Amino acid sequence: MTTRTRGSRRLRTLLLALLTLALAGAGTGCTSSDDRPRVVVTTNILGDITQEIVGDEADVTVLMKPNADPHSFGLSAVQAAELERADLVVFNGLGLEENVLRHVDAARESGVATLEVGKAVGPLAFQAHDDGGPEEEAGQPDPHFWTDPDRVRKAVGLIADQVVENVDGVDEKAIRDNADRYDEQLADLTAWMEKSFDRIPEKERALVTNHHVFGYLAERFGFRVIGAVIPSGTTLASPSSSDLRSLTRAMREAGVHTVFADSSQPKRLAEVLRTEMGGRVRVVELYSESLTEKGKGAGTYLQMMRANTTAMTDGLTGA
Amino acid sequence: MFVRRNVTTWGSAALVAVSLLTTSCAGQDGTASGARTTPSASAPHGYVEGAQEKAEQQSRLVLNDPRTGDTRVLDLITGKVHEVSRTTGTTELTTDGRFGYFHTAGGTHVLDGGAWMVDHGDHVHYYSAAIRDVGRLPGGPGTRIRSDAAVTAVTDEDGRARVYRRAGLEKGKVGSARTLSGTHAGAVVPYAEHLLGVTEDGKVVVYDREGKRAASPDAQCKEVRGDAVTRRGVVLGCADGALLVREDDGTFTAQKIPYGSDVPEKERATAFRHRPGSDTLTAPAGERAVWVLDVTERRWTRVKTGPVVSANTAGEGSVLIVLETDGALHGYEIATGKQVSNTKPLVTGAPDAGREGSNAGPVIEVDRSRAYLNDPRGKSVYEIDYNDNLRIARTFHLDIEPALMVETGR
Repeated sequence: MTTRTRGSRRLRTLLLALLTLALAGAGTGCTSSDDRPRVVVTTNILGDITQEIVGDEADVTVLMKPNADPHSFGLSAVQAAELERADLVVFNGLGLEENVLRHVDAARESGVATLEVGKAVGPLAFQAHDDGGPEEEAGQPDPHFWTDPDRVRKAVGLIADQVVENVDGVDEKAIRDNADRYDEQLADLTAWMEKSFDRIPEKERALVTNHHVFGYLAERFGFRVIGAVIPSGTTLASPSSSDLRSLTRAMREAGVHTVFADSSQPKRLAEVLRTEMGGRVRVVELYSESLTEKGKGAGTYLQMMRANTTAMTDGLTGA
Repeated sequence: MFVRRNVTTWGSAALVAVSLLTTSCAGQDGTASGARTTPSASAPHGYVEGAQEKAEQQSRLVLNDPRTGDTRVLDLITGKVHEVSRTTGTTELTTDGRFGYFHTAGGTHVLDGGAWMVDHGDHVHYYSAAIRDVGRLPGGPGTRIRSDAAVTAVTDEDGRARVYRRAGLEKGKVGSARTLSGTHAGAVVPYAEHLLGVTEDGKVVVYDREGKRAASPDAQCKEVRGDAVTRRGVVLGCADGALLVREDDGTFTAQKIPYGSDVPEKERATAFRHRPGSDTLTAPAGERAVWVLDVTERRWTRVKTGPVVSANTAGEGSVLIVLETDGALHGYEIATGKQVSNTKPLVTGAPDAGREGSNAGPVIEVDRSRAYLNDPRGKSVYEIDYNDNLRIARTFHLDIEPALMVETGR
């Protein structure tokens, strides 16, 4: 036992030495990489938006992978180091990136320019739990500002300003042009969303959901968010009325037959709800806190918003 | 925070080196994205190759027949049964929510049940992955295993405790251990980034995860038997009641919850069962009663029952579920002690009350929505809806006699 431990420790030391050697060799050959100006962005939604603004003027590094959870993704040591070498760090903030915020703080303390977008675009407070908000965060600022495209337009202006101010070597005109072009696309998005949602009768603009991210969208486009507990896999196999009570109560209150939730068995959930409520029930999935990989439905912010708008409109109009 | 603790100094040093290696040429390919770093370097916590994040709790039952060694994992979402490698002579099967620990004379076999949860306080994440054998921890029968998110503490029958990094088990390797000084009565329990134990003479001791002694509350727990981790702290079963040890801002305090009257030795609580995450504990109180400890209210309630085989409750106002020697489940309202529901006899053959020595036999596992009861001789497992008059929601028929059962995925 002891010998084995010692042996493996020796092996580790050797490996470390080899790695250090390799690293030293690699370092001398590739110094150009450090010369490129670099913007580091935490979430992939902000990453896409920032990339639209920065274009080819600087490197944009996105820390959160596609299909990840902004609350739980963590950084490797090298990513943390990257943050501290960035010309600008763009992050969502308001507590969203729980495992990353301390690294952002460290970068700021070491002199890196940082932009907390969520805080800068006029945050809303979470709804009370009874009104569909999360259990323990009522009254806290809600970090999910991106569900309101107008706030994203505001964010675009702020990010462009920060890039121009803090990232050396970028062409200001190119950045401003990129930002203006993207702003137009966002204006189109907002107009299109309004037009889509107009098809939903006002009293049926209700999102029965277990997501906590649509508060901004609800406020911007006149929806009610009604929180509900979605029955899990084991309860769905053989549910009783009490297993479904939170959800059926929310649906009756909202006067809708559509649930916006992630479920591993959406068909089964719809089926048991129909037995309980009568009529046809739809279970619709939405994109919430992460982009997908390219071409998988929500590869960009604009795609994500359009996909959700279509899903909500179709879900609530029975299209 | 969680991530930082999971990364070893050696590991992070290597990652820095490897990752710097890959990023040092980063500018050359012109593209800019985080995907360039090595997958292992930027993996989120809880990540295991092949693991998937799920929208819902991934509940599974690990089942074993100690006579034949046959072992199965029953996926409660799909209803599918997975056959896994045989472990014979298991005297006890325990879990920390993810791993099944098969206690045998030759050591403890560890099985990764492939379903678990990561708790972030205000929200949780559920994962599922392949079921796999991890290996063997040393320590014969009587070994007690307790885990938190970062470490697994193994206390052998002599009270020597070793601490393993859970990251190793998650990667499929037992790894090396750190040994705590001294010997302990009862299990050493990871809690609040520390380890909690009771010395042979009944003193509570606190260690940090490096095994160094930390400031400990001045508290005694005589003849410690039974322990449970709740959101309110760690509960230890002592001769004169429970001792609740809590951490607040790095300080550990202890509070005794006495029985309130003299309780004969054979009627004291010696082993707790509860719904993971619940603050309501149960323990047999002799042969014809069950203790219910409300940790929030710091209150013991003794519920008179029929002859007890096993008991449990989901807490929060739901019934105390008791398997009695008639083979049926009985539901008792905890506040009044009244029996309010019962099932038909479910367990085949007469189960024994107050089993001593052997841990094989029917038990009740409780999660947020359902309870599970194993019927070894009937080769079945029952799923019980405890909020609906102990309704039998599903019955699973198996090809083995599941005398040992634990629920994972939490």
